[in-house]
Amino acid sequence: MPSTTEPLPREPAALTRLRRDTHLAWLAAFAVALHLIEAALPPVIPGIKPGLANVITVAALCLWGWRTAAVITLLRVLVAAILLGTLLSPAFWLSLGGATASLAMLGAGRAFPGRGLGPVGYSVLAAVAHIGGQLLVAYALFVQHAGLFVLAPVLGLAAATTGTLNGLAAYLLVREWHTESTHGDDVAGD
Amino acid sequence: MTAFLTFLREATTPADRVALVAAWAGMVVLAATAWSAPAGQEAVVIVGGEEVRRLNLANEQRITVDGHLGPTELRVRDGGVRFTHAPCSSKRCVRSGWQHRQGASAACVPNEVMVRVVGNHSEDWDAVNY
Repeated sequence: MPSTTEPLPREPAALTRLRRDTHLAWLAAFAVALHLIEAALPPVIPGIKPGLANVITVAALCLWGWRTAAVITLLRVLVAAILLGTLLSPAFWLSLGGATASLAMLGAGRAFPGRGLGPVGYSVLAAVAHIGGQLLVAYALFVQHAGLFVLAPVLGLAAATTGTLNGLAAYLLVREWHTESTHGDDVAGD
Repeated sequence: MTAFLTFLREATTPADRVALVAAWAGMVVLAATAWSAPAGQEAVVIVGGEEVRRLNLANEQRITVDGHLGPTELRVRDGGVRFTHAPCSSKRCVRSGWQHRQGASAACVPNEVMVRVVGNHSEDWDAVNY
């Protein structure tokens, strides 16, 4: 894998940082765009969203590691909330709770032995963790009633579905960026 | 279909497959446990909004209660309860069949007779809306 976050031989440190920051900015912008498109779509089933922005998180994890994925995801949650006007509202806290839980799960998922997880496995685990985190935040901050968890199976099955599909999308994205090295023309030699 | 399965094989590592099976199985088990209400212990018979009888579902029995339209027959067997005869015209109550689980109910609306299965600490939801 051409890791574009690794410095080239004898490259000035500033250039390496610039390259890394450029990747971060691009990916965060993609993720924010997906988040906004999704917010504009009519909800087919209330409370259930496809979570398309997580495709970017998973692809970033597989291509550039957990820290990059975490920075992109947290930036996306913050910027999307500012643009949608939901900053510090319940929707923002739910979004942040879900993102934190799925990032924790992605971090833990790296411990898998052997070839380890690919985009699909990461995505489905993160989606399930996302719902878990959201339900906990919703319970802790907004609805202190066990009735909330009657929703868990509906949301959980939806998360497994969207997590699997997003994972396949992330796989295609990783494969594409890998072979064409869209983000690394200057390091194609390694 | 075959093409999709081939794609799925190509797109996943062994660990991915483990994760997929675990996540899906976990959610299905969660759904199954959350949605299958436990078996009830008693049936409450309600006529005109007032509770008139409580039937232990462990005892096989037939009872007749007086509804708004006339005598209505209920039967308890194998931990369930059902309407067997009612003086209403639609017989929807009879066709509702056996009710076993906590929160389950059958009603003869024109006759104002309803039977509802309850448990020891029955706190169940009729419906969930959000």
